[in-house]
Amino acid sequence: MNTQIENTPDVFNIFISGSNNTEISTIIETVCNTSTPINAEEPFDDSDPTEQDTAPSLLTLDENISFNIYTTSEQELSEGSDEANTGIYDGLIILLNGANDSALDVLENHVTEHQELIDSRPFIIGVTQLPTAIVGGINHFRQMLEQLKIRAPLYEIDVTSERDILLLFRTFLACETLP
Amino acid sequence: MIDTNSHVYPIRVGFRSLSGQTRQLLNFYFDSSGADWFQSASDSKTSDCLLVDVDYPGSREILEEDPDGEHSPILVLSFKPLSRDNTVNLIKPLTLHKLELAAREMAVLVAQGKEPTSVQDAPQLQSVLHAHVSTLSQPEQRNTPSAIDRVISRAMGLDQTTTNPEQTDPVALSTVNPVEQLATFIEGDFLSGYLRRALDHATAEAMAFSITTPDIKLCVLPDEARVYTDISLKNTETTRTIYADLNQEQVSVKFFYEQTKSRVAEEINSRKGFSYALEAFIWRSALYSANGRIPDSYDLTRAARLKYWPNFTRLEKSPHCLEIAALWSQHYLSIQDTIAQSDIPLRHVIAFFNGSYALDLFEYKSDQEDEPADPVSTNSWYQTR
Repeated sequence: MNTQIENTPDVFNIFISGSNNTEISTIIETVCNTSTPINAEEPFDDSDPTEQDTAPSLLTLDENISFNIYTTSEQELSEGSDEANTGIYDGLIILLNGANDSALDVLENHVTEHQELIDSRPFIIGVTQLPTAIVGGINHFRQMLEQLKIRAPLYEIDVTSERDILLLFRTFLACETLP
Repeated sequence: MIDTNSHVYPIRVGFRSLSGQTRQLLNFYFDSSGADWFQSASDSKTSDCLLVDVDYPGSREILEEDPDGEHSPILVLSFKPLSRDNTVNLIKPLTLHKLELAAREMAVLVAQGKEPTSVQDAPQLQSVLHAHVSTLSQPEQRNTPSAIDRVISRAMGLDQTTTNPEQTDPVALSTVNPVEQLATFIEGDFLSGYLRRALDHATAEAMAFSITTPDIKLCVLPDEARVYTDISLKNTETTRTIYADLNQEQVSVKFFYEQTKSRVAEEINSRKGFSYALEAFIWRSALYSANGRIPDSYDLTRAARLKYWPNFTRLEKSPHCLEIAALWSQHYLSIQDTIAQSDIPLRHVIAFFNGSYALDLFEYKSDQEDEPADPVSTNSWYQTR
């Protein structure tokens, strides 16, 4: 009898949260292979994240690793959606707009909203549209994190740069696979 | 200085599978500055080695003719190193330095092939062999790193046993701690040291500053997190000298007060020059200045943890940098511990350390505390694993 062993690819569910839906859409367009729901023909169970209005997008990093990307809107966030805390996500990416004067408040809201996920899974922060003239640059946001008593990977990113976006996901993998 | 009396040099090279342009380029080099190292052989029978450009059609077949590398040593010209016995890799683009390194390694291979007679007949060669690989004739040490490994090891400031762990005696590995063999350097003698001291002072006093060395002029505006240089830093080969150790008399550091900073910025913007993110420049300077070594004042056993992640979207990423960052952000670890807890080669850990150290991204465990001093939260995934 021939037994064929197949390498099952690792699929991670990543939640992206940010105040700017346009930026999130740009990220998905930049790196995702498809924006159509995956496993759309399969019946949903109660815990299936694809029940959300926003269907996941698929990012295939290589033949062995892919990501289902889920997003939320600012409205859902302000309404106190707790879908991100249900334990179905493997990691969280928070996007901050560097040009926003209230970025600190925005970050605090996101952290509060996703506290359970943050405590249990890797999360990464990307700062978009960081003005070159901002005093302190990325250090300004590092100090913000310190004020909020948060320690997490923080990157300055260009949402149209595939390399920048992929780094967010590779960082997740580095944290996830830590011995 | 080349020992031209040696029986090894110049090495006679037979060209095989080479484009006309490359052949002309190499002939020119062999007839000019490389004449002491190499010489074109009229045919393969009189050559000491063959030169093959693996990117040229048909070259693979030549290598397959002698898959085990039992015949003439081969100088392989390619964009990527080729793993093959009796072969010296010459990575494109060609530089004089690379050709010189290749000549040194090829001389060892050529001498190895002629060892039974030439060692006895040529005292000069004996000294060459002794200097390069005194162990070549000892079968039990066949896995000794090649000459090129040793050259690179010296450049990286590492003992050769730490450069290529796969080729090291596992018994020796279990008894020798490679970290203890790490070379150190005096940071203050290098550009990174001058940069760090000036930056500390300028940041505290809200000033800008310039540093002038024989190889580069740079102006730093900490408020804008920018560095302006008079030369491009894209070409690693041509800019490597700026990161070499500096004589204090060769270096000039000037500070500019608040009222003159805008004029400095205007002056910079009006001239032709190059602009870089300050953080990326510091990171790069640290890596090149350290060159695989660690600052002599740093305690290898000192437990440190990443306070902030390096901003890798804007920094030169070193191999395994994400894995090292993940490891070092979760625990207080000394360099020794980090090496011990991962399979990551020592040189990559050292590179990461030097960059992060220069950017002041570490926080340190207090000697007085049993538990880690933790000014940051302990309630995130990064602390609880």
